[in-house]
Amino acid sequence: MKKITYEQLTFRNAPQLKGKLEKAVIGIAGCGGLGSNAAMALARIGIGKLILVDFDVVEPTNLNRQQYFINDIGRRKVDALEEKLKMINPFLQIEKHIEKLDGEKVKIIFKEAHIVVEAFDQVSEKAMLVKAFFGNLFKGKYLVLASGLAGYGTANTIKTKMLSKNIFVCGDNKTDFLVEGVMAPRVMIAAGHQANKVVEIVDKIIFSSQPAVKDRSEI
Amino acid sequence: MKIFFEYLGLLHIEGVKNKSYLDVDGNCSITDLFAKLQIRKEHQKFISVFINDEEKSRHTILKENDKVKLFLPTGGG
Repeated sequence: MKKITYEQLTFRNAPQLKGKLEKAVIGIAGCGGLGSNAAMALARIGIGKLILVDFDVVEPTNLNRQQYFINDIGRRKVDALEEKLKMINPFLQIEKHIEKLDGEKVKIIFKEAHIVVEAFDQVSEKAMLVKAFFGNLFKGKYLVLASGLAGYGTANTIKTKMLSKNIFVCGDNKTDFLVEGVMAPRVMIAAGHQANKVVEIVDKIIFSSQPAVKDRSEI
Repeated sequence: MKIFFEYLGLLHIEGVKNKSYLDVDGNCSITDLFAKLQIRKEHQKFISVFINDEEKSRHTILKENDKVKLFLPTGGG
C-alpha cells in the first residue's frame, strides 16, 4: 500500500482544526447507515480515535446506504468498517466492540469518548442512549443523534438542532424508516450533519482553548 | 401558569400548536403534562424531556415560563 503522511491527509482541512481533530475520541453507536457514513467522514478528515460498536453482520439489504461492499456480506460490520477506514486513514486509532448496547454498556464503552454519534435504527435504542447521557457520568460529553432521514425528496428539511446543552439532533424529525424506507442519499446527508456537528464541537468546545493556526504554511 | 412548549420527532399532539405557549396548572409535573396532552403510554417511555435546555426527569415540577421540549425520535439509520 502507498504511504501518506498525516499532514497530507489533512492538508485541505480548515487550518484552525490543526492539533484538534487528532486528539478527539468519538464513539460510533451503531455501524449501519448513519454510523458507517459518519465514521468515513471523520476518518477522512483525520479524527484521532473512533470507538466502533455494532453487534451485526453485513447483509445484502445494507448495501443501499451503508459503506460496505458485496465482499463484506457476512462479515462483522466493525471489522469490515475498520478495514475501510484504515485504507483511508492509517493514522486512525480504532477500538472495536461487538456488542448490543444497553444503558450500562454505554457508560463503560464510551467512557473515553468526547462525543458519541448515535447511529441506531430503532427508536427504543435512540431513547436508551439519550437516557444514558442523563446523569453525571456523561457530564462534559456530547451526544449527536439522528432522527428523520427516511425516504427521498427534499433534503432541505434535514437540519441540526440543539436539544440540550450537550445533546444535538440531526434530521427532519418527521420521516420514519418503517413508512418510507431508508436510502443512501438522505441517510448520508443526515450522517454528514452528524459528522459536521462533531467537528464543530471538537473545534469550538472540546479543544476551544487551543490557538487557531491561521497560516497554512505551518502545516 | 404558562410554559413554552415544543415537541420534536414522532410526536403529534392533537389541538396543541407546536412551539407555542401552553397553560398548565401550578404544581404540574412532566407526568401530569403527559396526561394532560394524552400522550400514548407506548410513546411515553421513549420520550426525552428537556426543560430550559437540560434533560429532566418525569418528576420535575414545571415553573412559569419554562421552555419544555419533548423529543420522541423517529426510526432509521
